[in-house]
Amino acid sequence: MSAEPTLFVDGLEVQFPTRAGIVRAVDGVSLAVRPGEVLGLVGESGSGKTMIGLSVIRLIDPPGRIAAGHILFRGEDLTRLPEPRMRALRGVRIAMMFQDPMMTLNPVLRLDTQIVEALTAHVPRMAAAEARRRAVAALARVGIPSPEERLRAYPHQLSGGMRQRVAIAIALLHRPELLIADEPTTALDVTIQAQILSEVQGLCREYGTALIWITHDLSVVAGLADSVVVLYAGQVVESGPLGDILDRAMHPYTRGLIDSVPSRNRRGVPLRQIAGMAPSPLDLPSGCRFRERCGRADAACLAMPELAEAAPGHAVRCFHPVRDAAPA
Amino acid sequence: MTPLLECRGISKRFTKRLDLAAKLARGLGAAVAEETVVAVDRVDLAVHEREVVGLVGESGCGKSTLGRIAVGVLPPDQGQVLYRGRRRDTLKGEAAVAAALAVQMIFQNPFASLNPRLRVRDIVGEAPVYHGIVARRDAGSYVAELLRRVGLDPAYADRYPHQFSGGQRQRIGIARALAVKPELIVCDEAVAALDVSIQAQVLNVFIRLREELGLAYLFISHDLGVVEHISDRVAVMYLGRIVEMAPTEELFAAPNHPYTRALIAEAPRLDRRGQSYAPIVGEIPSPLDPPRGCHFHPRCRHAMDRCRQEAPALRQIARGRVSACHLNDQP
Repeated sequence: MSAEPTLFVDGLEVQFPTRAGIVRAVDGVSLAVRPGEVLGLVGESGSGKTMIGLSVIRLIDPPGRIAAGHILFRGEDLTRLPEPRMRALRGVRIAMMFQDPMMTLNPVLRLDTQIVEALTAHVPRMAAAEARRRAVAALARVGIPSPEERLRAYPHQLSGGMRQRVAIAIALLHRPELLIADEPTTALDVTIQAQILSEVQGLCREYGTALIWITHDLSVVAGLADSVVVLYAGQVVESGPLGDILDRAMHPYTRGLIDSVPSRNRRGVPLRQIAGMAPSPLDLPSGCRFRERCGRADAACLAMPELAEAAPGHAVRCFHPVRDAAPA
Repeated sequence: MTPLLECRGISKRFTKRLDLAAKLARGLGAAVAEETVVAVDRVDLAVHEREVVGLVGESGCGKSTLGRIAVGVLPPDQGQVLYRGRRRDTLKGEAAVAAALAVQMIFQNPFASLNPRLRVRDIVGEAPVYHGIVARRDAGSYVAELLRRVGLDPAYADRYPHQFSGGQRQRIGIARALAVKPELIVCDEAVAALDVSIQAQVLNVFIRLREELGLAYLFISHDLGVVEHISDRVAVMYLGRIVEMAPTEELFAAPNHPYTRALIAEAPRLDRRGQSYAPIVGEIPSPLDPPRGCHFHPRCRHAMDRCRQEAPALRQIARGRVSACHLNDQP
C-alpha cells in the first residue's frame, strides 16, 4: 500500500447556489485511493457522496461548481485541467458507473454502435473489425452470454442486470486506472448483485484498477472494500481501514449506521436506531453537524470538531469518540 | 387454529391482449400471439393472528402480486382467499366490509402512495370517518393519536405530503393503514426506499405496533436481513411459486432449497469481509417463458433430468417446514 495514490482528493468543496442560499454539498472532503485498492464511500441521501464522484470525473451540472480543493489524478490536478484534456481522460483513464445504467446507455442506439463509438472516440485509427472484436470481448468479460448476438440489441431489449453489465463493460473498455461506481447494484436483485460484485472485484485484481465504490449500504462495502470513508452532511466524519471502521467505529454516526443493520440485532427486538434525520443542507446546525441526533453531544459540540487521526490510519471527526469495542 | 388469512391455491395470470394492428398482422399470417405471464402459480400461504410472515424473492417472482391478492385489490384467477376460515369472495354486507378493513396495505413508494392534494388529516382520517369507526367531530383527535403512535408530531396534520421526508411519508402511510383498525398489514417493500438509519426507525415502528396492537404482518421484501429480523416465518418465492417455507431461524440456519441457499449465501452482510463472490450463474428467466419442470433448474448446480421434466411439489421436510425440491426425495 505504499504505492503513490491513483487519486488524491484534497479539501474538495462543491457548492450549489440556490435562491435560499448556498448549498455546500461537499464541504472540505479529502481522500485517497491507490492502485488495486477498493475504497468504500459510505453515506446516506444528501451526504454528498455522488457529488464527490461527479467532481472527480468533472460532470457536475451548473450552477453547481467545485469551489475549492484539488483533485490529483496521478499527480495532475483535474480541477485545473482544460476540458479537451479532461475529455481525453474521461472514459479512458477514469470511468464511472451509475446506479441507473441508462445514464450510460443511449436508448435509441444499438449496443454495437455505442461500444464501438466509445472505442474509436479515443483510438481514432482503430479498424472497424478490431473495434467489433474488442466489443465482443468486452461483453464476454462481464459474463454476457452470446455477446455477438447481444451486440445487435437495443438497451430496452435487455434486463436491468444485463444493462448494468453492458454499462460496466463500457466503463472497463479502456482498462481505466480509476473506476468510480455510484451504487451500481442498488437496483439489482441479490443474485445479480453478487455476479456484478464478483466481476468488478476480479477486474480490479487483474488490472490494478483503483475503485471507489459509492453506497449507502455498509454490508456491500464489508464484502468488497479495503478502506472506508463515511460521509455525513457533506463532510468526512470517519475514515480508515475496513476492519477498523466495522469493528472499532469511533464516530457515533458510524456506530449508529452499523447498529441499524438488522442482522446486527437480535431477531424481533427493536433495532438500535439513530434518532431524527439528516439536517437540511440549507440549515445545518452550528458546530458538529451530527450533534442534534447524537446521544453523546454536549456543549463542546457547539464547535466544529476537526477530522483527526485517532489510531494509525483511522481518523474521526468527534469530540467524544466511542472507544469501547463494538458489540458483536 | 384457523388462520387469520389464508390463500389457497392462488393463481394469477396477466395477458397482454393484441391490439388492432397485431390482430391484423396475425390475420395476414404473422407469428404474433397473446403473451401470458403466470405471475402467481398455485400458491398456498397462511398468516395467523399476531404472526409476521416474511415473503422474499427477486423481482418478477410474483411476491407483490400475491400481496395484492391477499389484500383484495387484485382478484385471483384461481383459488380462494379465506378470512378467518370464510371465503372472502362470498361474504356480503357488513361481513364483507369488516373482512376488507381487516387487511390493509403499506406500499413501497412513499412518494406515489399518498395523494399530494390532501392534507395529512384527510389522508389518515378519511377512511375511518367514512366507515363510521370515528365520528367526524372526533376525527381530529383520532388522527392526532394515530400520528403520535407512528412517531409523528400531531401538529403536522395540516401539512401536505410534499412537506415530508421519505421516512415521514412512510409513517403517514402506516398511520393511514392503522386508521381502520386492521388485524393484518401487508407491507410491500415498505422500507426498501429508505436510507439505512431511517429504515431502522421505520422497522422499529412496525415492531412496536405489533406489540402494542397485536398486529399480524405479511412482510414482502427482497432484503433478507430485514425479513430475518422481523419475521416469525419466511416463504421464499421464485418465478411465481413458493419454493420453501420455514420458521425464520431454521430457514436461515439450514436452508433446504438450492435457491434459498444461494440467496442466503450471496446476501452481503457486515460480518462477511473480503468476500469472494461465487454467484449462481444466469439471469432470472423471463416469466413469459418459464423453464419446464422446476423453474430453478437452469441455474441450479444440482439439477437432474427429473428437474427438467417435472415440477417438484412443496413437501413437508420437517415439522413446520416445506420445500419444493426433488433432491429431498433422494435417499
